[in-house]
Amino acid sequence: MRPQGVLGVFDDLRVAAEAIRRLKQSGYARLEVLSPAPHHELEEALQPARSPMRFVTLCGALTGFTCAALMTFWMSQDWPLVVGGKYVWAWQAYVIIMFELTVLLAAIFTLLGFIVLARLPHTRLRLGYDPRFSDNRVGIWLPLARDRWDEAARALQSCGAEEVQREN
Amino acid sequence: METATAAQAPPSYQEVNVELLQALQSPGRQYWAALAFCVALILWGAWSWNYQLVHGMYVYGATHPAMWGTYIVNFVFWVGIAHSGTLISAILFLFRAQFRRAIYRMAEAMTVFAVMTAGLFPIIHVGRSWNIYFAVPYPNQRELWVNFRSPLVWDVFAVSTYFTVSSIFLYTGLIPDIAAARDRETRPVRKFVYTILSLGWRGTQSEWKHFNAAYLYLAAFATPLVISVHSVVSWDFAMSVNPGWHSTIFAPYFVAGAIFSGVGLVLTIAVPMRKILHLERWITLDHFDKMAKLCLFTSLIVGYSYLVEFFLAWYHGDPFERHVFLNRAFGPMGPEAWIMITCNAIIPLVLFWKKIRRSPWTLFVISLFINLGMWMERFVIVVQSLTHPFDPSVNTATYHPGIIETGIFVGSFGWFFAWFLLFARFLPIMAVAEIKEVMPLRRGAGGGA
Repeated sequence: MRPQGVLGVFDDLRVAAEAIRRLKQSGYARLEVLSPAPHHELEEALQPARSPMRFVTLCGALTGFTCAALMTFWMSQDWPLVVGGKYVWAWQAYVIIMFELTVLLAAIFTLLGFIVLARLPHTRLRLGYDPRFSDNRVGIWLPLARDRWDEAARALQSCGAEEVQREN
Repeated sequence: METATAAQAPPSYQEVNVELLQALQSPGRQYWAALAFCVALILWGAWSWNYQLVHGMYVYGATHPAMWGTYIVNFVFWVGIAHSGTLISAILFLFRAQFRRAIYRMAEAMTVFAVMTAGLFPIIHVGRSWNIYFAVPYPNQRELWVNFRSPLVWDVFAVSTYFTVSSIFLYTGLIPDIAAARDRETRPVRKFVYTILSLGWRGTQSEWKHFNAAYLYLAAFATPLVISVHSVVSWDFAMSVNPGWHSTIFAPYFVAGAIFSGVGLVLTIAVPMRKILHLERWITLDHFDKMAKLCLFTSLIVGYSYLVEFFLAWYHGDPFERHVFLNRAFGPMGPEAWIMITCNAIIPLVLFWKKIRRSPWTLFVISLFINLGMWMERFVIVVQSLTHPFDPSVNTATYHPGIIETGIFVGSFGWFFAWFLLFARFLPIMAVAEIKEVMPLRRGAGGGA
């Protein structure tokens, strides 16, 4: 089904944050807030669950470390260069490779994790977007069936929306 | 006076977009002239490299024992330059230093382009550049692997990781700002490219939540990486037993020097950039003041390291080590060493004066001295130590850059600045969203429309 709903445009951060609280209290559980920058006011009003990004980064870091450890030890064993009668497995030197690959894979996993978790990319901006949201406006998008539009539009207006758009 | 103007009229959200993204509009003649100049330098460098490839390594003036001539000097110099970007974007982010917002994008872009420049030098220096892939462990018919005990192999991993991670860091931070550029753009091709690059970013709270988390973890991993990369570069030297190199101070000394030179080049770029792009309102004197303090702080560490190096040479009593350091100060390479000390440890002391820290063009001049001094430092470390090994029979050897090295050195500047100019033209050079993050969005109070 094509997304459809009502979009409220706000020109004041505090008003938008208060609107989020009031809309949530009125039972609009599914609302999406769009803003030009991250703001604590909006975050406090929305109370989102913590991003699971840390696990993604940790997985990347562990993968990098493991790959580097396996690579250095196995390759040294596969082509043993004995220098000065020292052990073939010169793990002290390999720590550097392990560290670098830990960071490398952690960063790559973080970027990919961010793209997947934030549900990017999409080349067409979906409904409920307005170019002003990257400029100087905050938007509250309520994805709703058509029969609830009037009620939602009134609710947004009463919360102080500068403008209300119905989109389908 | 400039700060007073900024204080009187707090910028609005719209002004942030208009003023900070205006560099993406058609540039003036100055821009094209600068770009053409950079391309000319690149062509000079490319011609020199081509000459070396065709005629062989003899055209490169480095001979035994100073096999590492200007190429490795340039490599260390450019890797050093690359350090301020991640320092400003990652370390200062973790420390919540607010002044980074105005300059970090510039510094981060600088990092990526400086690593791209640095990476060219090992490729040029190996002579048979087409075989550079031998440095990477890959399965091959001869069943050979790279030697993981070699600092040069550590370097391959450190520098390529640094390039990848700093590119990821730069790109991640750019996504919301490219979206802002996309929404303002009217030219269809650019709009299409920005739409692709911004990944369809809309600025939903869910996107911001994951963005902030990703940025935090990238910063957390980039911080030790910055320190590790130049430490690894320093171990290219310190792991050998050459007099003048074999010292435990090398890693911290190199890291401090790298940050010092990097902040120096940020100043060299930020001062004219601020003027040309009319960013006086955004990059204020307070920002310069703080960057100058960072310069001063790292300069003091570098100056201290110079003293410690001399002290250690005297203190541990090794005659070879003593000879190298006496020769460094009073031998044929004395002038280079004294330029290094003057530019890196003495001239920056004027930054103790607040008036100088708040005068952009004075800082610009000081930053040029810093760039010169830091290049000389690497020249002294590489060449002076190499020409004084334990073997007394080669102790009269010397090295001076010839025409080919000069061409490649000059070309590297063209290459770096051309990328930077292209970046400033096509992608947001200022962090639009991050600057807005700390601004109130208020109806009718200048914040809104």
